[in-house]
Amino acid sequence: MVEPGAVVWFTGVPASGKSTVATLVEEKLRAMGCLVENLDADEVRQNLSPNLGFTPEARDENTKRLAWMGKILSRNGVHVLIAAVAPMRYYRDRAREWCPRFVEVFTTAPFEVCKERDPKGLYARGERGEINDIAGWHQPYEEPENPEVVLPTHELDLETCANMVIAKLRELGYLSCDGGCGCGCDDGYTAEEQAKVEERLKDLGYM
Amino acid sequence: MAKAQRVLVVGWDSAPPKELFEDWRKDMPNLDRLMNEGVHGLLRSTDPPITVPSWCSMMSSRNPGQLGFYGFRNRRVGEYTGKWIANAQAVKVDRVWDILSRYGKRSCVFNVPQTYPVKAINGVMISSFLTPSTESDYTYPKSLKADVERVSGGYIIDVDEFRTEDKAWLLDQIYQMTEKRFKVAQFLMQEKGPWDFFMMVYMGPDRLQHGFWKYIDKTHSKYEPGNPFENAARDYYVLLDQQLGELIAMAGPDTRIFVVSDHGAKRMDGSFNVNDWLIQEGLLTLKEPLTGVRRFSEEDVDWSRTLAWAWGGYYARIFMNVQGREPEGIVPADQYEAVRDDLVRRLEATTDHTGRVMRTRALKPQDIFTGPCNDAPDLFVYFDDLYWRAGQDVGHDSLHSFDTEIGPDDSVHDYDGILVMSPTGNAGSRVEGAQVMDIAPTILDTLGVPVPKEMEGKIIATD
Repeated sequence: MVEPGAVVWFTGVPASGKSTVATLVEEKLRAMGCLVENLDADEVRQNLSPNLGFTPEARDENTKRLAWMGKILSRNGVHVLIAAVAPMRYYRDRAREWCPRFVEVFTTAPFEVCKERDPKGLYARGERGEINDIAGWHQPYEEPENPEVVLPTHELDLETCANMVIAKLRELGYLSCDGGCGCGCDDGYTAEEQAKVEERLKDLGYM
Repeated sequence: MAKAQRVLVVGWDSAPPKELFEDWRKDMPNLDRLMNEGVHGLLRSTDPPITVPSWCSMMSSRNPGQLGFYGFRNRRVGEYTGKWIANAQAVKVDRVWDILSRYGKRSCVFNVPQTYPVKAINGVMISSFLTPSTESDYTYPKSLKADVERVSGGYIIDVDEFRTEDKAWLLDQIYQMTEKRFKVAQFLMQEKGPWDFFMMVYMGPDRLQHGFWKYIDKTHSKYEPGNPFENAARDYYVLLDQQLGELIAMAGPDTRIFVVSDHGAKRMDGSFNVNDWLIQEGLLTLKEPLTGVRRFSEEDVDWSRTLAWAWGGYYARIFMNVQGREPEGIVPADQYEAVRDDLVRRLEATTDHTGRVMRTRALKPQDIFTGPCNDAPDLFVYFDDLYWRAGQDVGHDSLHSFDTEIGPDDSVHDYDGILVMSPTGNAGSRVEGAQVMDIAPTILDTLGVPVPKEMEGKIIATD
């Protein structure tokens, strides 16, 4: 029986840091020896659904496909990272329903910060009036109500963000961390360490 | 001030209210100022009132029945041997700094119990006394360890072997540890900021009180007037007060200060040898006859003739040998409650060395906790209102001892610790009815962060 993987959905408005954090989480999970797939929404859309636009129906279909891929990959032991705005809550709730080990990560930053970052030039295009479909600006973005992890990416450094995601995966029992992940969790708490603590407690009469 | 930009929590493990709020207040100008500018009062500890789980309840606002641990060492129900230690891995709920991290607020968490193994937070962390040694990675991030070792001149996890007759040595060790801690705290404050939440716990008070209570408390049976350590505890708190003043100054304006303790302390009147008592009552049988005092071990028990056994400490944990639950259980499951009630009755009738019925309480976990009580003992026992500790060794000549088997120890834990919170409205007034689980929601509220509905405590009103 294969130990299932987790599906980690990074949601947030454009330039809030979804892909950046997901990429570092991917790197850390690989370093831990995990099977990982990082389904960047833009790449998946380009390769799997080039005909889909950005209408509500198309977004619905795209997130459905992402969730389905997450489901089938994760049941085969792969940790699946999905960096996709998925602006409506029901898109993510559907994925949560389909994927037993679902972790919603909400990346958030003030509008001005996202506009300043603008790695894909979306906000600049919006400013010039070339596009008018940016979630959280022209289009609605429904923030998660109970995400497993919230990352204010303008406040936290990237390393901390990635470590917090990994720590949550570990806490939920979705990872057996060997302490080499750099998340600071040190699950490599060894029998020798435990023995040292017990010995000290014994000396103090606590055992 | 309902909200503040920052929160500084200074924890004095085991700090007792009467001594600090009345006896030594005049010698502690910084605590006195906080009390005048804020509120203060008793802070009811957890059941049981001990370091683990109390600090964790304070920072998570969950009772031990929810947390699933009741002391440093814990037992898996259904197993006779094999104890597990409740370190950070046992904490499955968010503590204040986990929540603050999610809101982008930065924390410095320093020497708070149950933080080893350390985990990632938005900020920095140095773990506490359940850290195996300074060879371990006891900081987050790992790179911080080198700074801690450099700044402290060699960090100390705890005062080892604090149960000693060499009191001058012990006092020196406690002062060394405290000075090193303070140097690191200064470094964190000045070099690792900015922070929104800073929490530091001093273990020195607990170690000092266990080692020196008989010297300071005139009501203690071992008290000797004019002894050289008469003022040891007060003088130590004067040092802590000086350091408190410096921490407050470094924290800067618009910081709300909390000074808290996980439980109080009071004199130890004796040690009630609870396993010897169980043997005497015919409830516990060992495989071999006893020849002298020895450490109780489950491996020595004849389970076919044992209804219950105990772990000792400042309170006792009673475990029952139940059919279908323990491997060789003999208490029929359908008689579990009747047997347990009988145990309560017998325990609450125990007497001290003079024949006086002690004010002993035997508590069922389901009556004091709201959680699933995973792995809880069948009874928690506080002998004589906690004035007597529970000795678990077997083979004593008497049920009552006045020297503990674990080395010199002259104080026990009390139910109430301290709470000082400043600045607040109602300056100078007392807070009534506060308990440790109220601290986490009050901190979050102070910083303008929503209080999770799972938290069991309430926000302490200050207006």
